[in-house]
Amino acid sequence: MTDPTLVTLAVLTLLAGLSMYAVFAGADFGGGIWDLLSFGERKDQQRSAISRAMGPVWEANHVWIIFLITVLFTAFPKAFSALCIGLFAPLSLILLGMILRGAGFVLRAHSEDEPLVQRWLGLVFSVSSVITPFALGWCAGVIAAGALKPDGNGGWLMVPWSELLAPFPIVTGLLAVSICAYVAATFLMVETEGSLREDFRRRALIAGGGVALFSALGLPLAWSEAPELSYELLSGRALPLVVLAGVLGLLGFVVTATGAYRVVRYVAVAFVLVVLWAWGAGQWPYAVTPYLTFQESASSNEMLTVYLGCIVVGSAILVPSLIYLFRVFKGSHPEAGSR
Amino acid sequence: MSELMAARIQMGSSLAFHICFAVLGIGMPALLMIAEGLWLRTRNEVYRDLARTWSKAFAVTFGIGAISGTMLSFELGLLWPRFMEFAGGIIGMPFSLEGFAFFIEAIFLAIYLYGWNRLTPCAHFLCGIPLVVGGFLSTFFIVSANAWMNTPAGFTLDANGAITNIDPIAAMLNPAFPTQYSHMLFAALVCSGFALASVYAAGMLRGRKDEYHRKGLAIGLVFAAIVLPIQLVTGDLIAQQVTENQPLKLATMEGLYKTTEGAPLTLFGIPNDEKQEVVGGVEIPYLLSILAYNNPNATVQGMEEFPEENWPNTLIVHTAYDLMITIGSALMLPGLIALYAWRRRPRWLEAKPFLLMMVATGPAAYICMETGWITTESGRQPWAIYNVLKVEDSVTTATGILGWFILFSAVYLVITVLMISILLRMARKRRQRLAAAELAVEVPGD
Repeated sequence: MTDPTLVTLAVLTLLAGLSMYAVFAGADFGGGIWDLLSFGERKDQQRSAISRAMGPVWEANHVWIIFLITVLFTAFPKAFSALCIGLFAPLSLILLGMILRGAGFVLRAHSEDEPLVQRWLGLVFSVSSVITPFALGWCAGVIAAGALKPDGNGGWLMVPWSELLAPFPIVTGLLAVSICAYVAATFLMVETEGSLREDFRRRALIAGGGVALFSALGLPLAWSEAPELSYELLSGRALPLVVLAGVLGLLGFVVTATGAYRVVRYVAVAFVLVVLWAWGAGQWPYAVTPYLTFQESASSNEMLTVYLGCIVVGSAILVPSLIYLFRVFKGSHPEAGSR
Repeated sequence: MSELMAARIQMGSSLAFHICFAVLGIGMPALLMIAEGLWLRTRNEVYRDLARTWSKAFAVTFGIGAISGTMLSFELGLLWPRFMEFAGGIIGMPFSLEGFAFFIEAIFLAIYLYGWNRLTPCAHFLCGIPLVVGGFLSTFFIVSANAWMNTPAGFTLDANGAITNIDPIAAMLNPAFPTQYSHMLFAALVCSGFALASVYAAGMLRGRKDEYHRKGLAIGLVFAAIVLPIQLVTGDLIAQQVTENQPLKLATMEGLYKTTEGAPLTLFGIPNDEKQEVVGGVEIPYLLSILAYNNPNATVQGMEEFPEENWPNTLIVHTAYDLMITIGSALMLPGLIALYAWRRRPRWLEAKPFLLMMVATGPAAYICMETGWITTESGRQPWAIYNVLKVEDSVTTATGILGWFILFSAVYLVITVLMISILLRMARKRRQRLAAAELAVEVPGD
């Protein structure tokens, strides 16, 4: 049997990668969502603020999902196989969304002189920025609901559409979309000024309302559809994190409403992380609830040891590079991203 | 169409698409550093203009490459979950490490691309180093995993078929790895060099014989021409490695049905599996024995020694291999001509026949690289992991692959068309800007 400590450490690297993806790529998806929902007299300024903010960083932010996939199949190959078979259709949708989002963004950025093409590419980019986080949250809901089942022969069954389209997974998908929109709006408040900042402040409040609504809908639905998760969330080990998320959510409302724009994004990031960790704590110890634990699906001790060593070395190179990237382009450079 | 066939076609076309961008991701950083380095040394603005133009175009191809790479990482699981379930715990690690390498490349490309005016020229130039290293390391890790599929190592199967004695490092540094890595790396460099040279040759054919085009063509050609001879050597090494580790693959590549002493090299022709002969090929005596063993009289194993159910598709593998070696050898020509003409016949280098040939080198190098991949991938069939796991036992049990394949292909097609039109527009815009600048200079002089 694989050493449980190694398994826990490997799960923590997975959670760390997921946290980075949720915050940074989540904000980029949110940018696309606000691109789609841009309206009012400053519509074009909103859009260009979004693409300026995303331009230099979205590719690096996107790499986190590739990292997560590789970690999953290196450290937990059985779980990876189960997810890929059972969630074949939703994962294909996620993939399609990522391709369209990335291609739409890159190609749009270079199509200034073809307004019609640019408008269509913008639409592709923004619609796929809604679909992708929705499908990611949706998959998490499907797994928590225990809809991914073994076929009794060592393989897995595809999750039927009736269970994919159950209320709980749909709500977790919508929750993911509203969280992305919320984080993006708080980030954009910092990167813009004047009335544009006010636009994004209002959007942060709207998205925050969405987060509150879908959380309120999700908890009772989880009670009936995802009992393992809701037990942990409401009375088990995830409860403190749920309470903390509630507090941070309210705090987020207060600081956004008062316009303390420098603080807002930190509260928003803390909120996202706590929500994610609450879900992680609620999901533990299952990779596929309730049929497959991380322990059961883990690679050998030899593999996990070498893998964890590589993560340490890799992070020692990656973290300074990422900090350098964000220092060059974020923070005190309002013109960030102009070439 | 069976799900297996649909999965194979989808994986094959995704790989063929991605590799076009991956090779630029490996080769372009080095070319960018050369152009920018020449600018820093000579302060000739033409070099800076070249580097800036390339970096803009590279940003587009890198973005598309990041997307097609994402596609592949998903497809490993979506199409081949049973392969990944088996292989993930043995050879998954290089993929995770590739994640880091790709991170470094994405981060420093962003800094490089958006940092022309933010960093000092020297700091900007130095950002090219992690870009080059990131590309080389990405290749290292990805090719390591592919080489492992050809020569699986770093584990043992016990009597029940369970995997034991896992050694991830030994898996990574498997027997096929050194030759396969160097062959892919140099292929990427050659492709990038010729791709650039061919773009500028096309411009010169349209009468734009200015310093910018001449220097662009020269950098690409000199770069590719220096790397190509090394590539021919790694090609010889990989042939010997395949002879040793995958004799059936080698025999299929050569269309060699019967075990032969002093085996000839058969170029092209139509292999006939039933009659066990190649119809209409050109035979070069003893060359295969020399290639495989450095000995004209050596005995080379034929396909007959292996069960027919394990034969790859002879027509595809043999033809792809022959295309690769003939085109690869022919690509030596432009470099040799340029070397001769450089001092003695400089006018040749701007003559139409030479430029036409240069235009062809880009696509030719790409065909060479793609046929090389078809050789190694099709040559491994019917195995996903050579002699361990068959492709048919790796495919997903999920259904509906074909529909998604059609959808993804349509998306790729649109992306390709848009990308090409954007790259062409970029070049046109640069010319318009130059023309406008020239006009602005002329007016006050009047």
